[in-house]
Amino acid sequence: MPFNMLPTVLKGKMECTCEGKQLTPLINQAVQTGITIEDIEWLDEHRIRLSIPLSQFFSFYKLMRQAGNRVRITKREGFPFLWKRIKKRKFFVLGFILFFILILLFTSFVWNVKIEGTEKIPSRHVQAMLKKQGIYPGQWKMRLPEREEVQHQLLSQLPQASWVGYRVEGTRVVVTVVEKKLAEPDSDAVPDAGPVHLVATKNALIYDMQIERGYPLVEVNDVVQKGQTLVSGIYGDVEDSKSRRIVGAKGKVWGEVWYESSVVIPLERKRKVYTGERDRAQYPYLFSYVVKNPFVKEPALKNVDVIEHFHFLKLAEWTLPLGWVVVEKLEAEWMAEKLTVNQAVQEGLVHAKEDLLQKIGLDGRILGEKVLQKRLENGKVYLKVHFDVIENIARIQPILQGE
Amino acid sequence: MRKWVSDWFDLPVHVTGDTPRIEMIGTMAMQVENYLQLEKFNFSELQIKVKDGILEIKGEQLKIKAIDPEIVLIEGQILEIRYKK
Repeated sequence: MPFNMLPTVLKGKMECTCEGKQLTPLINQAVQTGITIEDIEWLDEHRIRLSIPLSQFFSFYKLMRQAGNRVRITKREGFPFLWKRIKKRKFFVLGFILFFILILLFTSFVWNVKIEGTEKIPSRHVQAMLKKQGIYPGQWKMRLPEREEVQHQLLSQLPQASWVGYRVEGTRVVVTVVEKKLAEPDSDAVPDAGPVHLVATKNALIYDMQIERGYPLVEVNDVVQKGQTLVSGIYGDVEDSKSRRIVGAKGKVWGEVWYESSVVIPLERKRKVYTGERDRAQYPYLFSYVVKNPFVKEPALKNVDVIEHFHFLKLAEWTLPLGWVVVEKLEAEWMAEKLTVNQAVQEGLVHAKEDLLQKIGLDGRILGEKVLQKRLENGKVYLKVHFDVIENIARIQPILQGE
Repeated sequence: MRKWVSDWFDLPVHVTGDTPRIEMIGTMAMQVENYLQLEKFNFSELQIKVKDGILEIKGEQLKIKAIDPEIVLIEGQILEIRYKK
């Protein structure tokens, strides 16, 4: 197609206005000599606007001048003119090109290597191994090794790792290490205390025994006294120092122990209850002084609980001594609550049980409970409760070598 | 003679010679091939000399989008086309 826009844009185009008479025959004449004219438009009776390819403009201009018409150039379009302007702004264009080159250059390096997920394996160690394979800050991204290879190499060199991931995120290399989880030591297991006996911590009836090592001196259903040796850490004849062998006792001995707890529960008690009335205000805060407006009347609240939240202004990483305080006032009320005797007893039992369970530790459990005494006095319930408890009564005692 | 050639060789009429070929897109654009020369051109009227006479185009805001020795591209509101002997 002869009127394709692209060549005229590439070759350059002049837009001009011609003024004079007999313009139509002149256009004819110009066209007959092989000039392509575009966008011919009448501005008024004697003026016409048209665009001509740059290469043909001078012959057209000559033709017009010969006929005595005036030609004024209004616009220069296309690549040749752009090129001329670029030549005038060499440094600008240079900077533009430089910018792209620099971006390309700087993004083709590895800037940092990040190692994730290492808890036990020191990340320095991983870093050193990566460096050996050619992965380090400053390396050309083109020269980085293959992903599969890196993962395989790392995994084979890190026995503590169960999986190694390697990926390149822009200019950053991220290595994810998943460490093998070691089987956690059994929390139930008794720590090995060395050459010890196990002795009773209190008077009890042996309920169950779990001896891993050592020579048990008592049996289930035996009654033991406090301090009595339960499991001996010595094998063989105790008297004969040649045949005896100190191995140390290890294990658990559960004994049935009786506890008596007394609890006092008041039948009437007070509780703080928020009424729902509240007031929230913000004050500026200056060098540890709260600035309040003395002319603002605060709402009348009784028995208020005040909650203050301090907000400090921060400038970069410094905390300024300026800020604001949000003061929240909550109105509270004391409410009296009355319990029946039965409720009080139930509550007392719950409390006593909780206390006891804390005292006997995780190993223990409560077999049974019995209220021995219940007494109402001065608006309070006095309780005496008997608990039947099973707990670990073994305590380690070092074997004295001088015996 | 030309008609005879195009009939005989089964060729489109405009390929064989200098008869004008006019193509119109709605009423706003028009293309004339094989014209001879412009006779008259202003806002509302355009006369193009073709082989068989003068092609008279009337309209509003007429504008020649492009012109070269072979083709004229006309744009604007075209209202009337007529052949004048």
